[in-house]
Amino acid sequence: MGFEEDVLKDFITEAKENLERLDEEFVELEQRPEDRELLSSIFRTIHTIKGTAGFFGFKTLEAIAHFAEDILSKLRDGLVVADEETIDVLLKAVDYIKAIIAALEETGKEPVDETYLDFLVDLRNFAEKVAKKAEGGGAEEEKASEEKSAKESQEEASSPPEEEKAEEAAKEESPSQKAETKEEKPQEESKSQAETKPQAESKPQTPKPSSPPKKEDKGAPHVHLTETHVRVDVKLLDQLMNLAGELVLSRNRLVQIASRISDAELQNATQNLSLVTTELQEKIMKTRMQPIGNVFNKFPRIVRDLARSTGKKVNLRIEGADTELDRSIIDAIKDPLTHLVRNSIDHGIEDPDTRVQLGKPPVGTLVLRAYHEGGQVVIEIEDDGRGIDVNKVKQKAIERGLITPAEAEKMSDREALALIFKPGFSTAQKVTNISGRGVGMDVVKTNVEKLGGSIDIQTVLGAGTTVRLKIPLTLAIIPALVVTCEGQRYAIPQVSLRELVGLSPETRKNIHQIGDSEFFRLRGEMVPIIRLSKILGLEAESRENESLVILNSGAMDFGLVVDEIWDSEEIVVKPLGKHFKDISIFAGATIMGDGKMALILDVVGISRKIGLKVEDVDRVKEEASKRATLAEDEQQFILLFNVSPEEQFAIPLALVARLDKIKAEKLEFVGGKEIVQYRGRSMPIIRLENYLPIQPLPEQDEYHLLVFAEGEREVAFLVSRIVDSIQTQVKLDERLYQIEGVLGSAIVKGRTTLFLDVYKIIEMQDPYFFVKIVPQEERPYRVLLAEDSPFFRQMIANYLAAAGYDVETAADGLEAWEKLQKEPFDVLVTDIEMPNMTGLELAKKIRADERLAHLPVMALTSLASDEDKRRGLEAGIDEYQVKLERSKVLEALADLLNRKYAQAA
Amino acid sequence: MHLPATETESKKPSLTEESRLFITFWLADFLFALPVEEVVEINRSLDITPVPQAPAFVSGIINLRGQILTAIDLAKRIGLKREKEAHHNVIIGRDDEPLSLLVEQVGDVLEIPISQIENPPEVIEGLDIQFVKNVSKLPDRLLVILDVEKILGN
Repeated sequence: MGFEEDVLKDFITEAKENLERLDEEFVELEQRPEDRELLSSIFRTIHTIKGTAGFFGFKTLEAIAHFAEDILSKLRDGLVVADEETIDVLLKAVDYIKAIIAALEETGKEPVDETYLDFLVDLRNFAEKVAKKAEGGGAEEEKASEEKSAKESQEEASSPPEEEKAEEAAKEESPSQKAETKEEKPQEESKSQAETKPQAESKPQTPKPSSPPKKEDKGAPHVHLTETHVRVDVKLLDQLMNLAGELVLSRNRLVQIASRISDAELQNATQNLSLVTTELQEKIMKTRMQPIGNVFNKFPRIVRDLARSTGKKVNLRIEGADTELDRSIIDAIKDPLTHLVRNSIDHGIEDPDTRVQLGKPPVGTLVLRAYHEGGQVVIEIEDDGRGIDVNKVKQKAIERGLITPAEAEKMSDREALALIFKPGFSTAQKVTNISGRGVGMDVVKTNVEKLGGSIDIQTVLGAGTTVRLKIPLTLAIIPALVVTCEGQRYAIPQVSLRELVGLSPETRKNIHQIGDSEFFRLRGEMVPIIRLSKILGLEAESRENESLVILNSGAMDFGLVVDEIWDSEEIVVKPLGKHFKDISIFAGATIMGDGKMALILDVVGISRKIGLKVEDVDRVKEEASKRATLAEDEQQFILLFNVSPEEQFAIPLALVARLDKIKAEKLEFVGGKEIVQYRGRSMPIIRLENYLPIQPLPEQDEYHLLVFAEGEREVAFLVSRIVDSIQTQVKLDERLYQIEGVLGSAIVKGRTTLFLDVYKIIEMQDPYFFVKIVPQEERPYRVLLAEDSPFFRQMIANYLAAAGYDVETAADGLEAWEKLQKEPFDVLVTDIEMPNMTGLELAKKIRADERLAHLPVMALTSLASDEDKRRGLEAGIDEYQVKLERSKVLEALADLLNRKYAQAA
Repeated sequence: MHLPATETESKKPSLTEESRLFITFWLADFLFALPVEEVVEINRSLDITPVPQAPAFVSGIINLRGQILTAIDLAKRIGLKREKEAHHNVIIGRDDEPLSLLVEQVGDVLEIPISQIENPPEVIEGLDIQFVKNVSKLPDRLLVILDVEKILGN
């Protein structure tokens, strides 16, 4: 009994694989109805199913396969051409076969149902019809290729099952023989396949004897391939995965111990173990990886059926089917994907008439695309349909009571699109049986988020929609950030992490308390924040040094206040027991390197707990705009852009006079200069690649202009794309790129970004662009610039130098003080907030010093308030200016120097 | 067909008589028991990581050789006031999801004849009777046999 069960299991597994392929092949067949290779392959698959069904005595299955095979043999021999009706019937047969296989898998028996018999009768009648057609229509061909082929096909159709039946009968008498025959059977079959192939192939062409060896060549690697693969129980792989996880943990622990003991030999050994463990883990992960094609394969059939039932024409294109994903994720994305594809066909792609009227090809295109990006898999479902009408979405949302008309008014397109994911939303004008099944996009979103993924829609009205899913590669081992709260450690999956903010007295100014909710102003955006201790329901003592972890739950960004931030670690996700299933804030637990446990936070679950009110957010936003003028010193707005897509650049937003777009044909090349007609004047254009060692600007129909102005004069950088404008604290690394025109580099939004020296680059192009407003003197004024931020220090020094000053720099007040002792300077330009000695302290010291008391001092700050100015004047500062307002700074500096030295003279 | 033993026979347990083995443990002056088949292993104190927001009777999670188990504060679960620390883990295995029951002290393994396993009385002072499956009268005290299903909350 056990043996037979095993054989049955093998049969079912094999049949399932074959049936999946069949779906695809049939759809292909519709496009290439005369492809013999394809027909032969389908024929063989059905034939195998028939044979095995006969062996097990599954009568219905055998009969369905038999008649399907009958029809197929006629198609294969070219006696009948596969039309839509035939393929429909054959697909139906495949469906019935699938249903029977499914029943076999569950119960081990064929289902007893009249519908199967009814279908069988239909199928038989159809097969007879086809046979008659074949006799009539294919008569001439028949003659040409001799009777031989007909005989062969008959033999194939009838003899193998008989053989197998005979075998079966023999087996029942002698069960001990079964094992042998089981092993023999596949070989026999592959033999018979190899035999049938050349026969079927050679028929339509000239029957040259030279072709068979070729076919054998083709067949040989096929047989070879099966030998290099072993079928392994998925459970075993899961166990291996678990064990690998354990090994990783033990390794982590050992590494910690080894680093404590500091014994060279032990270190070496652990290092080696570490390497091997990592590799082993990777390899085992790989065994669980499957190509996403396993899911994509199902779609040709689904798309075809849907298109037919909706009267639309859809061409499905699959890209990146070999992109690999963890098995468990592949299983989990099947349903969301199906839903999205259904949506695209049902709501997106128009019917052929409408499409022709719109000037589109009658056949719509649906693209399923998968690719790896940054440790994640991106899946895109793209259609060239009608796109999503944002106004309709808003209207619907108002009708459904999801938003008020006033809210709709204020909503951006992006926010409006997000409404689609709200529970109880459906944009379908009428509920169809395809998409409108009560399962909305909210379910899709929830399912994707459960996997730690995210979903995003991009749509162009009239041109199509792209839905993009980002899914982690695996669920078992994930990178996570370890944080602490009240002495316990918690792990936060790295995918949800946006950024980290240390909460110092300074950054705490960005926290705004409104009602019961707290918000953090992050580059002008109000992000709700919540204490982890509050979510955990723990009594928290207030602390000085907390940290803020900005997370993205897919739906929104929010901040989590934690006590401490530890390291990033690869953690093995372990499920929690059923007692915790009602707690939505944990996604599982993990064992850390020291053997202790940490709970893994469920970011989506936590975001639901915050439960914010819209009015609260609005109120906060208003409040924030009032307070925005009090931003602290080092925060600044920067503009991110690309020249070539691979490199990201940044400049201070404040320097840019305007952002604009121009068409490529507007660019002119006159007198050796590239210019553009802009606002009635000719404006010179700077292509950055001409001045910096960077990738050139690609050809585009349209470019972005970053326009800079100096008085009446204007100049613009020509760039390909504006990435973003963000407010951030720039930590500039000056060493990595020592290139003229580049201030330094920093990581912004996860990418290395070059900070450009706008003044320098403009000067390189036109040395006379900036008006020199240096007072008339025999020698240039010597300026001492004290500024701790390298970014500002370089930028200011450059624009002062460009204006004709002799600039010396100091990294803080103390260094400036020391330089002042050694050398004479005409003026001090200083930042206020600096380590070691602030600008105010420096100014006081200068005023108190006999020799320096009359030195002109100008303070530069990011944003100057009246209160600041008052304190500055008290300390002895003569002028107060905003760093980024270059022309004002230069003007004020010239004024100050004039005033002081005219007085003196 | 096995017939239940009569009252008189049960007074003197013999080796031939059918009996069951129980793991016993102490909690708030009660001697509790669980059938050995239910118990996977017994462990001295293991580190417990608390799980905030979990039900009150859940102490947290423990790491048992790489497997994460839920630790149940058995005293709280069955409505007992315990005065001493419960550090010992009685690990019971059910449906692929083992659990640890925290107890004060682990006692002997007792072999109890089936005939001496009785239905619980209507009331046991200081104990929620719904978690009690059976009792057995030992010479010096009452052995309370717990109902694993109830403890698991099924």
